[in-house]
Amino acid sequence: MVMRGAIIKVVIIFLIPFAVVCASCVSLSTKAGGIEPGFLPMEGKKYEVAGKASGESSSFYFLWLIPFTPQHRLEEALRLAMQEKGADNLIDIRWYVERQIWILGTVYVIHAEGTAIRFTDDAAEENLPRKKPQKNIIVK
Amino acid sequence: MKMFSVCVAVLLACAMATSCITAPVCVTASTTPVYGKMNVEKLGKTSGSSSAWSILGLWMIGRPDIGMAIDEALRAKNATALTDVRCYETWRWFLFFSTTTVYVEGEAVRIHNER
Repeated sequence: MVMRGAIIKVVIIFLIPFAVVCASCVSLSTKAGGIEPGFLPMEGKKYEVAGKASGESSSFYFLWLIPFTPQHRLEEALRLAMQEKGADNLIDIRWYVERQIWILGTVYVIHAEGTAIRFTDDAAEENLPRKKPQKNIIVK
Repeated sequence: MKMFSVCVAVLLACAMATSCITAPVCVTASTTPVYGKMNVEKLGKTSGSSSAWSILGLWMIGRPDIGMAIDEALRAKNATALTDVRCYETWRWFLFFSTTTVYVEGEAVRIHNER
């Protein structure tokens, strides 16, 4: 009897909420977004590769229709990817959109990946200023 | 005879519960910046694909990776980039599962004297 009561308590406290959370995700899908050779114009500029970078931008629609957060944007994901490496530009860009449908609403996430580059000395003086890595940047 | 009719009816119902659709994803000049004084060697047409499965068409396992599709296209011709790139996606629905496949097609090129 004591054992049965303990088992029932475990089920109520842990398993039922776990099952509800698992059941809350109605659908999960990913759609290929596209390919871009580069984010910013860079005709003829010399550059050095800073490494792979990735960024995300997401939004939540309450009850699947009402926007709760600013809309997800590819530009935001790309700028966050550039900031990750302190890069001047992003090339070889691939991006995709993930959609999660939950009981309370829908979450959209844009994932962008690419190669971060920094312009070398003479190219940097001409146009875009070189940006130092910054943290906690809010991208509007 | 009755069992045979039931089996045929079930198979027909399963066949009718399938669907397929193809839609464009993107068109772009190249996968990497190609401009000006770059020495580009054309290697011919190439293509690649990447697929993902979905349970009941609702929960996707993995994702159709456009990067992997590009890598497959590049490996086929030992190229460094693609030009005249076209991408499209195909969804196929079956009774209990569905598949999503992204295709990448383009002209394979090898870039010399980069940067």
